[in-house]
Amino acid sequence: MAYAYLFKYIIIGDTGVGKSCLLLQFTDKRFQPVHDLTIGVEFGARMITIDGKQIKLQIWDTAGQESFRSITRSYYRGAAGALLVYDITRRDTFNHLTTWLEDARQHSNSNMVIMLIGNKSDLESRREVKKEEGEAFAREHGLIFMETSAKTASNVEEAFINTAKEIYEKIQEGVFDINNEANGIKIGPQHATTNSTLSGSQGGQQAGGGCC
Amino acid sequence: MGRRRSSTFSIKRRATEGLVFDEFGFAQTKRKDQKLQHRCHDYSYPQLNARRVKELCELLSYWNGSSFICRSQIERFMRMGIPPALRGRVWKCLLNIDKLRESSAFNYQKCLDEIRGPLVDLGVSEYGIISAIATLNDTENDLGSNQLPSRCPPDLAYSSADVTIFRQIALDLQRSFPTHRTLMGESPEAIEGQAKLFRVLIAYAKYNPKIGYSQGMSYIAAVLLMHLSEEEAFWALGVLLEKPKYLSELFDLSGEKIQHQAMVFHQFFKHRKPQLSKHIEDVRVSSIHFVMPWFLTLFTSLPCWDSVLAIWDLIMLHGLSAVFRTGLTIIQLLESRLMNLTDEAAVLPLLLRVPVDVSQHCVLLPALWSTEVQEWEIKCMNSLVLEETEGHHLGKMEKPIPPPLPTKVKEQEKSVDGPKLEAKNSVRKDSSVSGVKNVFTRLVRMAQCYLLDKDCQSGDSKPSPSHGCSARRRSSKASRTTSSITQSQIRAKRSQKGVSQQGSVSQTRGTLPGSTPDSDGLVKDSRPEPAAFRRMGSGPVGRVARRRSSLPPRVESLRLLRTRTPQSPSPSPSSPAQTLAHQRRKTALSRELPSRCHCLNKTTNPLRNTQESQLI
Repeated sequence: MAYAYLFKYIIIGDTGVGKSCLLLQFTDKRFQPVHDLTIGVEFGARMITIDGKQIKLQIWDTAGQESFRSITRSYYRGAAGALLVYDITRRDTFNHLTTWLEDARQHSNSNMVIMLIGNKSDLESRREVKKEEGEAFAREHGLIFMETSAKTASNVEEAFINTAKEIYEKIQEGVFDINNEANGIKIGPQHATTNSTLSGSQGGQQAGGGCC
Repeated sequence: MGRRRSSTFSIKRRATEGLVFDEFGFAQTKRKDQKLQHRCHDYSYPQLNARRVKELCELLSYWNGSSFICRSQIERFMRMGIPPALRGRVWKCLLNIDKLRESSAFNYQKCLDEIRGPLVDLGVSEYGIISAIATLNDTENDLGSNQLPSRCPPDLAYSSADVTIFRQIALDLQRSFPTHRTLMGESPEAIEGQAKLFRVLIAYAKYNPKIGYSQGMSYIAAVLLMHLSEEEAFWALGVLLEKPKYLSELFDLSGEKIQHQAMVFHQFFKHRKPQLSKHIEDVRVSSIHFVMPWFLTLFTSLPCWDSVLAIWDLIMLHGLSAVFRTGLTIIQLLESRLMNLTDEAAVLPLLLRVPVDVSQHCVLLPALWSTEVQEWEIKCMNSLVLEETEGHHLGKMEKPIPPPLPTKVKEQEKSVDGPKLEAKNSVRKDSSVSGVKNVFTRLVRMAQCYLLDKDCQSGDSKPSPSHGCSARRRSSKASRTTSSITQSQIRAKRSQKGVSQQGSVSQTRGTLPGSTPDSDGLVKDSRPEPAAFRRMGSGPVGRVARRRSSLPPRVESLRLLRTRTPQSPSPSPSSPAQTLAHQRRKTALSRELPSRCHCLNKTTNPLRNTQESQLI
């Protein structure tokens, strides 16, 4: 399908925080609690619309286990956006954010937009990390923040789309060099060089999951 | 053999959940779920007739793992197809799990009893995995909030490390074969299956804390549990994960081993399929990205389960080399498709989710049987990677290795236009040939060092008289092969290695010994190169290379190698420490090479042997 831009995303975070479920909810609009373990990387793709432009999101979902960390690093290359996910019911997944962030900053391009996501917001009764803590962490490190639930789909669309908006804004501001594919952005066949302002219309749901 | 729908076979229904399982126990999902459940339920594996089954049973009843005849017989049955009902017995024989169980001081049941204490203290039962995960999460949170990240009150029977590992395993149980009858859902069968898997993995983490638990192991243990009893599966896992022949070089806590093996596979792939590997590199897909999931789960992600099991049969027989062989076979089958893809986001998914038409038994297995991979080949590639990584660590002292493709050839390739397809192909072939020569030349150097080292040590194992004789008679016409590394670079690397290598490492990974730094810190090559090259023509590597000589580039390289001039004799290692290190390596090598040659000789046809002896 024709698109104006392609953004490459990467989803990172500890094992079991719900990275694969978030991806599946976004690409397939379903919650599948029983799925295969991610060893290495999985893919997803979906088309969204921002400012009247078709944007293809190509999402790389990575393995979270500590021993795979050094391999996960190789996926940061050429990502325009990262979703850094923790589990609001598990304190240690929040505590590990700093090391994830260090990794992300060190191995990606400096303009990569990072969205911090506190997942499993449906499990309010078992909450261990307050929303304010997440917000404070995001503010401190210059990230966008959102709490989501892959189970109820709450804020999942928004998390992916807001990240795309941020990337799109950066393109408009000329921060991203869109001709350099190492930035995780590709210009698609449908690209028109208009410089209209960002209106932020929300995602069309044309494409399903799976890969390109 | 045509495809058949597994519904003609033993389909089991789980009435309460409305699920239908195929003959291997995988749930047959509705069409709308097919995207998520990638399993194919059409199987094409061959059926063994009753007479053959009886023969196989007989073979297993007088099984002797060290007998060459037994092993070649079982390989013959594998080609015909092991019947699913006998697979467990075959694996048990091949892994020789009883031997490990008898020789080990570890007692599985006792270990489970010991684990029971901490589990009770934690309020966790393996029969309720979902609530166990929640409880373990809470405990982990409590431990975190008490500011005791690594210690617990002394009266508790568990440590925070225990909690982490229990939790990780519990979390992965439901994510390993989530559609298999023995692990899916909340049925009594699945609850029992998950409990067994939990126990096997926990006990293994206790049994071998060096490996502990890392993701991928749950898949391997689960497949074993599908064919063996719980305790047998535990010991089978032990054999697989600890024996160097099998997967001991794949699993560790840091993930370094799998990264190393991915590099070895990359070299191997580059050597066998230069053009395709270059294409995959060009689209920026690194070998680790597909090697890791393939190797760590032993190809269990392939959609056709009959193929997976047949691959496992071969792995049980040949170990890690069968893993490499399978990897190469899959890539070869996907070659034309991969060559047409120019985007990493298209290439990688194809490799990660191998399509049914490639992975079905009637396609993948014949291809696998016709793909030849020798153990020594992989060991040589291993040495190459070790050499390169160490060379890399040496820093800027050495010049970077020049690119393998001569730029001239590249330019030629570019200048060739559309209709001259034939010309283009030939140019391509040339460039790939030079790439092969390059890798091959280096490979030969490795092999040469092995042989030479063996040669140097008089007491350990003497070269056969025929070898020496053939060396003397060898023509002295000088001719150099193309090489990507200069002699001095190689020597410098070798000297570093010779000094730094530990015996234990060299035993498992192989090294590149042979040169010693002199008093000025300069490097002197102590290897009598020409002698080694002469051995290339007559020794085991030469024989193997000749046997494999249907591949033109290798023959060419070999022919060139054989005509090298003899030069100076070899001085012996200079210091006692070096002598000792040399001896260690030689012992390892002399153990390896003759056994390989032995096997190869047996498989080489008699006519060729005669020809060889005449040549010698």
